[in-house]
Amino acid sequence: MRMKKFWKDPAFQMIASLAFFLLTWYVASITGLFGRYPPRLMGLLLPTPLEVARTVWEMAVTGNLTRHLGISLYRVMTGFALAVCMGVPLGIAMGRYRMVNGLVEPLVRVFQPIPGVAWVPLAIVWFGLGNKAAIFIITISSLFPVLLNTTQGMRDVDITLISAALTMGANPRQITTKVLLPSLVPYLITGFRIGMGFAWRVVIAAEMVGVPSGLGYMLSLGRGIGRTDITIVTMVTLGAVMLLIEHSVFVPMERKTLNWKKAWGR
Amino acid sequence: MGIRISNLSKTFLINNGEKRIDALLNIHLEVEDQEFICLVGPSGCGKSTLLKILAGLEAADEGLATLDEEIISKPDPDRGMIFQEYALFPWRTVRKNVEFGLEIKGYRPEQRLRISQKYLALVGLLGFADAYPHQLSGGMKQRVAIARSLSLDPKILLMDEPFGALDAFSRLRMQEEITRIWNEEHRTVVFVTHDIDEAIFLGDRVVVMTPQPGRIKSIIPIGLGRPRNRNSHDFLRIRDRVYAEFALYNTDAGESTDDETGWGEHLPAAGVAGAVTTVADLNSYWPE
Repeated sequence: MRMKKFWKDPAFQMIASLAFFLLTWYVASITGLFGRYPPRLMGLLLPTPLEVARTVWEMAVTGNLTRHLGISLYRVMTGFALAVCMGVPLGIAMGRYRMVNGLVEPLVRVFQPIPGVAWVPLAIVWFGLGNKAAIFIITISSLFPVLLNTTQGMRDVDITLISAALTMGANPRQITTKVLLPSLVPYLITGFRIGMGFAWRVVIAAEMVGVPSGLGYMLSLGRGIGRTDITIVTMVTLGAVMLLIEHSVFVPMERKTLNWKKAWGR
Repeated sequence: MGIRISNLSKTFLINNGEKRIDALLNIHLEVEDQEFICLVGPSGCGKSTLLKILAGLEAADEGLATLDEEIISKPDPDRGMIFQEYALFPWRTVRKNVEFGLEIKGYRPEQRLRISQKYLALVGLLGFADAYPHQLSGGMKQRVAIARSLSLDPKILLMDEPFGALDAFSRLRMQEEITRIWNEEHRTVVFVTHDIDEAIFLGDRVVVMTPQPGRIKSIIPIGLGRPRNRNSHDFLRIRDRVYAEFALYNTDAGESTDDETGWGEHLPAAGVAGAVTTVADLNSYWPE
């Protein structure tokens, strides 16, 4: 059997691409691509990968990184959970009852286009510089993707499936639990995924401009005290956390629905 | 006993009530226990509406339908329905689809397993019990739907163009398959189709329906043994007769200009070419 050419191996490609990136980073950092300063200040603009790795260690030891990560994570999860608890039932009610839809839809149209970050000033005025303000903004911004995907899912429910369940003697409660909710699952996953992305974006923004804790605070703190390495470590952490959530929650969920998702395409 | 439909009418209002469509007008029909009856006619003749009323999914405006002297007003597991679109739950495996109605009825898991096993075997899909619907062909999907309906032990089976979405070969196979299943599990079947050959191949009687308004034009007893030979002299003779029913319908409506069925325009008007009755003539005018 002939050996596969090593440069066609995806693992090799991944390592090569990361290595190229790190090398470029290192060269940019020592040559002063982003501006020239006296050598002892060079690290201020773009610290080398090695310096950043050292900072990761330092921050892990002091516990600062995990503490602020925990704070942001708590805000995102609470705000997102609130958005789900409100958005899913409301979306189902809007799909089911014309009246609820008529009452809620105008408000959705008014508030949905406002970017979540635009709520930051009001939230700080109302709730002060703490968790409450951050959670409020997160809830507002992740509510709409969850809500809109739920109503879309309700609109797309296959009427024939409901008829079939009715002819088999299903009552309204069984129609809801055995037909409506399973039909909604792919739409809910999409809504949750987008809502979670929105939640992270606004929590960072809120922490950068006001709320003095969490990963967003660390990002702007690093800049403020001349420790660009802290900012970069925080960015990397943020990327890693989002990647982890994507792969440990959403990808497995999607894989589960893959078995039957194809049937929706009709 | 059996199904009794008397003086049934159903009207749909479209364009905000500007236009009335008489989907069904004064329908009378009696279906005996364990009879296989086929409703045949062009689209718009109300055959599917009639089936939905029998299922309890739609209400009639006038008249009523009864099953064993009980008025039909809402869906009931006694009246199983098979849909052209299969209506399988895509998130359930084949077995779980068959067990759906049993779950609704509150059967215990071991009872469900026993019953689903029996009907999956009947339709020949035991080997696919753990597959998902999207992995099956159209004919297999419809067999799952049939097993699902039979698992509830219904008195009647309502089939709404069940093979309409299948290719010609699967269609013939499924016609033979449903004959075999019906021989093993005798039920009253009301089978809606627009395929005249299919109706004659399957039915004890064929009910010929015409549109605008939806009415029963005639009821033709088939009187052939099963399994039937599609090319036997008797089969072709009955086929001729059913075709003639539609040709006559067309000469009746000769003056009508708003024929939405698309059948009329392919046929010569009565006064010009006379009544068209032979199969050969009709075939040359047939759309598709």
